[in-house]
Amino acid sequence: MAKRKIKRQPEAGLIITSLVDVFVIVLVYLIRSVSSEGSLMTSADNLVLPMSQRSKSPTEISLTIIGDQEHITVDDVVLMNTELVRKQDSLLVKPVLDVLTKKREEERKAEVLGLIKEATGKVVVQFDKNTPYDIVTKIMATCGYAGYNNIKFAVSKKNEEG
Amino acid sequence: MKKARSKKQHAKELDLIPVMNLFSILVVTVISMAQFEKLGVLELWLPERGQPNPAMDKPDIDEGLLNLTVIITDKGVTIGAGGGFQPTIFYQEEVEYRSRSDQHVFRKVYVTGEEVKSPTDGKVMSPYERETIMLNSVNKKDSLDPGTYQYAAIDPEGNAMMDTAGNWLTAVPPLGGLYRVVGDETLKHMDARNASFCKVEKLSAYQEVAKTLEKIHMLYSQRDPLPADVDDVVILADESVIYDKVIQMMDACKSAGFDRVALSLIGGEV
Repeated sequence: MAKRKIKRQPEAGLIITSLVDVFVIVLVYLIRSVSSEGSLMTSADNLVLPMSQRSKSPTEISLTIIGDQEHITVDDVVLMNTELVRKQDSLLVKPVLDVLTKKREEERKAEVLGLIKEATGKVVVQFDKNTPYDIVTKIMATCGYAGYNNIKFAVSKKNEEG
Repeated sequence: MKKARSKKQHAKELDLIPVMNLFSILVVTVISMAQFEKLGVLELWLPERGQPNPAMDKPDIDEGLLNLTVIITDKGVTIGAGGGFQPTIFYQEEVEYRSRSDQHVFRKVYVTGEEVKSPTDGKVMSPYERETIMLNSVNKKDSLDPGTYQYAAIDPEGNAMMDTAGNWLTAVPPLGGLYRVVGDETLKHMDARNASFCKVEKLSAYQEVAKTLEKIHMLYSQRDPLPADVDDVVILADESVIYDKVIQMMDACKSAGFDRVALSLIGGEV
């Protein structure tokens, strides 16, 4: 009986040239969309910022107040329940005022000691776009009372090409 | 003579695996650095708290100032100044909801105090499930009149288009036709590329307010001497108004040329 000759098939090599092409395209697209300015500010997790066409890029951030559906947070420290702010009659929010007053004092001291150039009293507030205006005004009034007169609202930039 | 046996040489393939490794690392690094949501800031200025001066009995009021105010209520927007009020720009609020339970998106005309339920699972929507809030401008004689929607041609950036006389265009201009948008005085020619992205939609009340404010700003900035509050406007809103409306109104004021925007509360002061 004749021995059946087994023809050895050459191993199929992986063609990765097309994959390299895909990677090049993805890389070029990503490099184009990455902002060269970097990010000074990051959006809080559990809120949706309002969109704006006329916003400016943030330059310097010294203090951030976040008002989401549940809490009011100052520099990552949860201070109060958002619903309690809505219910209170007073324009000034006591726990927020205490923290802001302390921070403003520290800023002024740092200016006197020459640690910072100027105590600008800048604050960036991030509110969910569905927050009632009542809560926004109370936080703004508290900022103004504590000496933070330079208030900026964080927004999502609309219609901007990367 | 022995014939030289020509050995067919296979072209050696380039080893791309190290390149792939490099690219994989680069893609992951760039994705981690990428900022997909671009954040910006809208500036606002508050006067510093000071001690009252008992020597000043009467506040120093400058008669020449405009004291421009934009008042937002749940039915309309009224522009007021030292000399009186403009007719109210009425709007109808339409809300696009996104249900958190099943991500279903639906639109509904907003009625104050009405409970909105998802059409798929009947779940009551919370105020924080409102994704987009549209204020459609409505032509009305008074607050009791149901009114009719205003329509305008919208450019690819979402701005309503005006003709050379400053009236809203109710149809997309023909190729070569002139148009302009609020906040940009230059007239543009309609081209084929832009025309394909333009559409006729319900006019936003923000656009209507911005157009009125732009006219006021143009007239006011021609005064000699230039008034101190030429770029100032105060937005006055009810406490139940949502923050998004205030931000969109700030945008409208800034696009009309009023760069210094202050906020105030109806029945209070901020």
